[in-house]
Amino acid sequence: MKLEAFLDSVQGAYQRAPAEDVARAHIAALAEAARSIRSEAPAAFRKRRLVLAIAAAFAAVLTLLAGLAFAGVITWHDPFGSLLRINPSSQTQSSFWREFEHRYAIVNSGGSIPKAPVPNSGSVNQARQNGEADHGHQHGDRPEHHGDHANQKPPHGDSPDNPGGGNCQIPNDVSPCLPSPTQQP
Amino acid sequence: MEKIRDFETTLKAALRGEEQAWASIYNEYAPKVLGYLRARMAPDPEDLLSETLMQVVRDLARFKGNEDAFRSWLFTVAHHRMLDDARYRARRPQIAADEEALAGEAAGNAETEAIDSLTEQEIQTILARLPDEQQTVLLLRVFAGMTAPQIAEAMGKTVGAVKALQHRASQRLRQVLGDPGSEEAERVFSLRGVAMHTETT
Repeated sequence: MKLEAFLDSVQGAYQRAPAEDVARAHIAALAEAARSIRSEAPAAFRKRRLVLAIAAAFAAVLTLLAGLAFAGVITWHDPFGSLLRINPSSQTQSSFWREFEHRYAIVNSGGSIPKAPVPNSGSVNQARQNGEADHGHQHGDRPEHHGDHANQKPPHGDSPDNPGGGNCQIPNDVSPCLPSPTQQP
Repeated sequence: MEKIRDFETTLKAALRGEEQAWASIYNEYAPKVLGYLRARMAPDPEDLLSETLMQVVRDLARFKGNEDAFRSWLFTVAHHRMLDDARYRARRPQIAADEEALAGEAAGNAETEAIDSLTEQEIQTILARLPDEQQTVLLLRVFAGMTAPQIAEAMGKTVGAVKALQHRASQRLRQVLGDPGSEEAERVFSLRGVAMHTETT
């Protein structure tokens, strides 16, 4: 059998029109679906246009803000970034807001805020302010280790050639250092 | 391949939902698509045809091109629908009720299709000797008259790969049919409006 005859027979064997009633039903359904889609199209177009308009307006506002910020007309401050380091639970509400105003004033004047104390260290901070040594001891410490270590070695963060000069724990920190526990008032 | 007279006008009328336009498109293409689906042994070709045409209705507003492009698009949709259907059936085993219904239908049509079914069986035996992708290429050529680039797009392959598949399909068929050399096979393809290796578009 030749290839041509085979291909003819393939077409002849399989290519048949659907039954007449099936064809009529299909055609009617197709026309109906096309009409339905056509009637829905304007509403869908309006909806899409509205979404696009909102998106364009939002993008325009963002662009305007970015442009103003770039030109220096508006600036962005983030005082809360530093405030987040304060542990409000260790302070009364009024002292919290005093601290807030103090730090906000520093940020506004171009300074930077010193590193905040670790959480739950309010008592330790208080002790430092009173000139006491920072033991840092925990339960289980040997009794002979209790006492003032300030005379034995400089506290953490002190420079070897400037003992007691300050508690500068960040090498590149240009802010004024906190008073060292060894510094007496 | 036959063409619909004034295809653009027909397409615009079809977009408006005119039944006459859809009848024209359906009468021209439904038998060919159905032939392709039957030859690929799709379990429910008429259902797949219906789904294919419904997808065409949904996406017709976005279609741009002439009748050749439309035919290629239509067969691409049909091919993808068939693959989706095959995947779906592979995941879900047929329930007994379906099989009973099919058995009843087959018994009802047995007398009218007795002669055809024998021929179909023979043809199917020969086609079954070709791998799946070679069958796809061959049958898209036969039923849709699609070019190699069009088939490549439908199958997600390169044009070179499609040409290679077609070449192997014709070689294999020639062996099975005991047909003379490949030149003859290529002549047959070209007589049917299907250029093989020299085709560039």
